[in-house]
Amino acid sequence: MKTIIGLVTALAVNLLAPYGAWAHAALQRAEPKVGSEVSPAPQKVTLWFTEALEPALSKVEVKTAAGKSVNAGESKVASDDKRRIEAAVETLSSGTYRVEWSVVSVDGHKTSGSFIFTVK
Amino acid sequence: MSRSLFVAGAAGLSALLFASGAEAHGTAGNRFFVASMLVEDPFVADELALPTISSMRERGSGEEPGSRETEFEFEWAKTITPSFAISFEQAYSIVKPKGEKSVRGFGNLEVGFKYQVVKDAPSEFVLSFGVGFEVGGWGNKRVEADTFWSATPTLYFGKGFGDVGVDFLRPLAITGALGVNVPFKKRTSMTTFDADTMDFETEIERHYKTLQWGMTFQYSLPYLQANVRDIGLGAPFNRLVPIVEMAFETPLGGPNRKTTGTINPGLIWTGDSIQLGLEAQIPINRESGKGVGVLFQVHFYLDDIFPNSIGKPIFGATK
Repeated sequence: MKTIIGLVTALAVNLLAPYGAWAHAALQRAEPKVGSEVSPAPQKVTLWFTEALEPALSKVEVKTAAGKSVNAGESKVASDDKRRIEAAVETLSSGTYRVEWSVVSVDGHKTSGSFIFTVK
Repeated sequence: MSRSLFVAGAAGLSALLFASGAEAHGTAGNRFFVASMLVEDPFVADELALPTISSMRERGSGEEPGSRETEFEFEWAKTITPSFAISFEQAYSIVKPKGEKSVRGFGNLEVGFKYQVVKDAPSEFVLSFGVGFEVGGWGNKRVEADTFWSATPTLYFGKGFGDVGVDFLRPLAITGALGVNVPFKKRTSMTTFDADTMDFETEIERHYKTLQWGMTFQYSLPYLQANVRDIGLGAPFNRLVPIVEMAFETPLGGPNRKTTGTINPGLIWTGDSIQLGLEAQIPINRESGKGVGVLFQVHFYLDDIFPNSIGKPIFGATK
């Protein structure tokens, strides 16, 4: 019976509210945007996920095209919104940067991804 | 067998079974592969397809009228270890011949075993093999359930194109399955009494091996948004995966070796713990069907819904 209730609830939650409470954390949006060109250079990179994150197991790293990290300190999950993680970055010159993220949602599922943005 | 050899063997088997350390279902690196509806996907996962509904028209032949076959099906896959799963599949069919009463009944139970051999994150590649058994005699003869068992050893693969240099191709992924269905009985004979000739007639039906092969092409808009370029798609489009599935059967013996199958274009919407899929079923030739059929599925990701109970492997760490 619990299984049936679980399945029906899952169906209802997914249909009524696209971002439910159980699943893997998927990247919802980022600032700078995925694949974008920006000017002036951002001082931090912010990622929003579909699920709350485990702060100790989630990280974001920003790298130059040559693979050098430009993080200014550790990335942090926001205390007021566990779905947001931020990484402060050093002063960025013109060029392409890769954002690599690896996060664990509160249900223990691990997901990862990467994207680039360009500073004009 | 010496005790040390036994221990070494057990350790080796354990290492093999627990090797892949599964993460989220259907993922390889940055790629999330949807659970395809027509072609079995290469992943080992806790999942439930309930229901899968398909409807397709068949052409008549000789004195047999054409018919419409509608199937209601469920499939439940359970991980035993993070890289090994068992699945159970059962269909209920309604066959409605033109101008006649419909016949209905359960098909044969299908039991499958799948082992994930390779999962490579950087190349978004996965390779698995498995074997499925059809339990002969389980289902109803009225809906042509076979009275004999068969087995289908199958190789599965999936490959995402996230590592190619062309941006618009990176959301694309392909999966495929290649197997041979081996019937456990070579022929079936059926004896009937003909009242006109007042004689018994014996009809022999031969059963041949069949090549079963299929592919999917899936273009992931979520992948596009999260890994390539944010083009500003909102709900529900940011969770859509346009897909084309194709599944074929080619007899490997007998007088008629014509390939049959369908090509299914459609859409899959991936939610947090379920996915919904809708596809058109286009027969590739006259023998494969008539007109365009339809395929619909609700698919539950059980590892998300029940992460601490039936949604996790029985043995071995899951995440």
